[in-house]
Amino acid sequence: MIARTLAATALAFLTLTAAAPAPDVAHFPQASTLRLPNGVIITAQISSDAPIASAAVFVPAGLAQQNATNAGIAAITAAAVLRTPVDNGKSLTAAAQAAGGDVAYTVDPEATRFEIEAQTSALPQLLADLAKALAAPDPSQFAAARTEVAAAAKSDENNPAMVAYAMVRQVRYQGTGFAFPQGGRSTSLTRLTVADMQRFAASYQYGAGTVIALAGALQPGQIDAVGKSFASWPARSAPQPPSVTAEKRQHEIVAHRNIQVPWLAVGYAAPSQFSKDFPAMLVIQALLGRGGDVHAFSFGSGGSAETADYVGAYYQYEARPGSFLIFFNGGSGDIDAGLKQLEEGISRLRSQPLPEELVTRAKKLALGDYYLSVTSLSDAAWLLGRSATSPDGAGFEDALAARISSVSAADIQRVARQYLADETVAVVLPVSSGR
Amino acid sequence: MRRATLSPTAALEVWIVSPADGYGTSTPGIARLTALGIVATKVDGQSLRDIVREAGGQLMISVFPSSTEISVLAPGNAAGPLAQALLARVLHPAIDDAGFRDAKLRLAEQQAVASTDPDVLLRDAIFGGLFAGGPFRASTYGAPTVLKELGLADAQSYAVAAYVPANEIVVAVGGGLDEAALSAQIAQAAPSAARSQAMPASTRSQPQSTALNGGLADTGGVALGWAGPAVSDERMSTAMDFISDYLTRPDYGLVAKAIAADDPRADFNGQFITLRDTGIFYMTVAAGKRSPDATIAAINEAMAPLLRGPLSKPEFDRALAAFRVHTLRDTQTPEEMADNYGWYFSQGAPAYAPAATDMTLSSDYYSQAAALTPDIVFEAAKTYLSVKPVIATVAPRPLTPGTTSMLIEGTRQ
Repeated sequence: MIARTLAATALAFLTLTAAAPAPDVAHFPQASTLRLPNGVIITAQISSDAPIASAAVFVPAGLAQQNATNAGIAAITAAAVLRTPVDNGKSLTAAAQAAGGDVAYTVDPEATRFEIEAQTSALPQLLADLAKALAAPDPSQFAAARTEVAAAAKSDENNPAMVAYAMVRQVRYQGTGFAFPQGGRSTSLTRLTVADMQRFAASYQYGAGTVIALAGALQPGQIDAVGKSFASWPARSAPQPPSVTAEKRQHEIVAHRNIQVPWLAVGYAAPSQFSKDFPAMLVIQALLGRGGDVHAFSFGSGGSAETADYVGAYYQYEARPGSFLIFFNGGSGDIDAGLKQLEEGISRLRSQPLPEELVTRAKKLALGDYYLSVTSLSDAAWLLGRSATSPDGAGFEDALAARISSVSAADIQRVARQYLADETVAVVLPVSSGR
Repeated sequence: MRRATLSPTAALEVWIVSPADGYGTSTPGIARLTALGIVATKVDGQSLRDIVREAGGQLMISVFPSSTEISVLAPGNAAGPLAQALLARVLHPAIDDAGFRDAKLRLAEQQAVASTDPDVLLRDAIFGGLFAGGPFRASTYGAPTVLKELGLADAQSYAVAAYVPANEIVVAVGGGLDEAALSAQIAQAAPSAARSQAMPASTRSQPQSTALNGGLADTGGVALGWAGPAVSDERMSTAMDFISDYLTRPDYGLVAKAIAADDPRADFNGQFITLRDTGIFYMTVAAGKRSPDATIAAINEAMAPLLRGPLSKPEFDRALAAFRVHTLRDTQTPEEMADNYGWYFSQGAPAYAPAATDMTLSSDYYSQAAALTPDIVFEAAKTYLSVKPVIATVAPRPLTPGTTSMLIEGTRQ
């Protein structure tokens, strides 16, 4: 994960006007997609680079499907799945690791995602094991899973970037589980029970809404075997997550933590990933300061991603609606000056169309970020899985690149005007003496 | 050049085999300063850094004691032009005043960050303890005092001596690369042959009985290091890789798990570094709650099963299969593959590179791995790890209010 400064260079970019040719696009490998009779989607990109493969399994319940009383249950359930015995008493994690592979989970805004990477020949069995563990997470693992999640959640409470992110979500996602801390609160975690976990596990067992994306050196028979493992999932569609009322007021919220310098996050509404405005917002992100990828703040196995030094832009587009945040860290620059630059940059984006040369350069950066986000098998499986749920299907991968290339100055201005207003400002201050 | 078909990116790298502390009098930091100057120098109004950024790519400089790597991770749509730019700027290096000033500032910043990084300090101390002379003894960052004295002419002289065809390899890995075009670009960009200077010899130190003091870091820490086989001993080198995997891989290795079990906050790292003359096996533990002595005892206890005798056949077979998969997984991205090729080239053993393989794993490295036995692994452990290690420690520096570590990851440019 690379966090870059929202440096003067990023915003000074808005003043550059050097000529640049329109960007070409690269292409993703062709994908095969199969929808099982129960609605489960199996999609695959085959390579013959090395005898390993990766799978991303998306089940249709994540952070948004939680509520105030069970916040944290998505992570606990996923952690229990990984601990569930599948092979002569060995947990799913141990079975994968013993064979040189690995399994991990991430709780996304509207899904829980499991990733398995292994030798190709071992992957179908591990996915079959995952399907069984998903259907019935071992109740005896609940306590250990809760302890694991509680420790990670506690760690998040002391991380100023995570605190600021949580504060912005608390305001902007009221009414859904995405408004709560991703690992839950200590008060809610202690009240959770095995029955809560079993209810949550039942809430994602829908054929339609479940996606298994595979990337690597797989044979057709191995892909068929994966399909059979999920063929028994109920043929019904996952309900839509609760909707969010658009926030039309400005907010400023403050928290105190034991930190040395102040932190600040400015959050805006943003288009979600399948919106027609998504490509333009990616270009705006390139203009305002490239930051980490969409999973920079994700919560999963081992807790949250490393964000202790995060500054710059962060675009959460997996949530509906999306969010666009800019993080400032008092230890790495003048916050006031950074805020002023941000305001000026956004004002310029909203007030008039940018010069074509500048738009072209920003599109190159956005395209570069998009392509560079897919380097590993796991990256490829994740992107393929999310594409499979888009209106374009797997073709979304290439379509998005083409759409980024087609973004115009007018698109940028329109999207900036529509979304970059009514900001939520989250301030995390050092605990002063005596507090 | 190798294809990697699932990523719309290409890793483009030039590796230069050269001593990081220069030829002649040891000048730690000179290789890094030179590389930074090359990528910052503008030609026709643009530096290599500018060109890569504008194309949406990432430029990286990695400096190792005996090699420098200048690489570009290119979006697939810009791989051709970025390869051309990289080759033109690195195979015909130029450094001007402005580029040199920029390089000095960046190196000063990198020195500041590295000077408090426990992993860097511990690794440098271990290398310093294992080698009495040669580039492996010196920090690749150098000290501010040395940097202050270095001038443009020093960097230019280093570039003239180091950046010559006999020292260089171009590695390109990715999908959609035009091999013929790339070959033509390399041929066109290749400089005429120039005489290369010999790499200074790395002489081994005498064993030391006391722990080395690595200085003050952001956190306290301790490291252990052992000298291993040369890369030409492929059987033992592969056995050491297996041992490294079995002991140090995060969430898997015996030592990694033992350290994490009692102290989840401890930052553990370990690996066997394959080198031309003397490989290095080392482990570092930073930010842990144990004392250095207790940490060393925990490491020794976790290593003990491997030093007591050969692994049982079932456990060895399982671990060997896992080792193969780990190695494949660690060399899967275009950047990882290119790095791996470049590293083994710089150690004089390109054919032995794990990345130089295919679906059937019918390559030098995986053949060596397939030939491993419990006895060979035990022989390697006994030979190289049952001797007293070099030990180094760092102490936590006092907290300074108002400072926060900078966020630039590694030396990404």
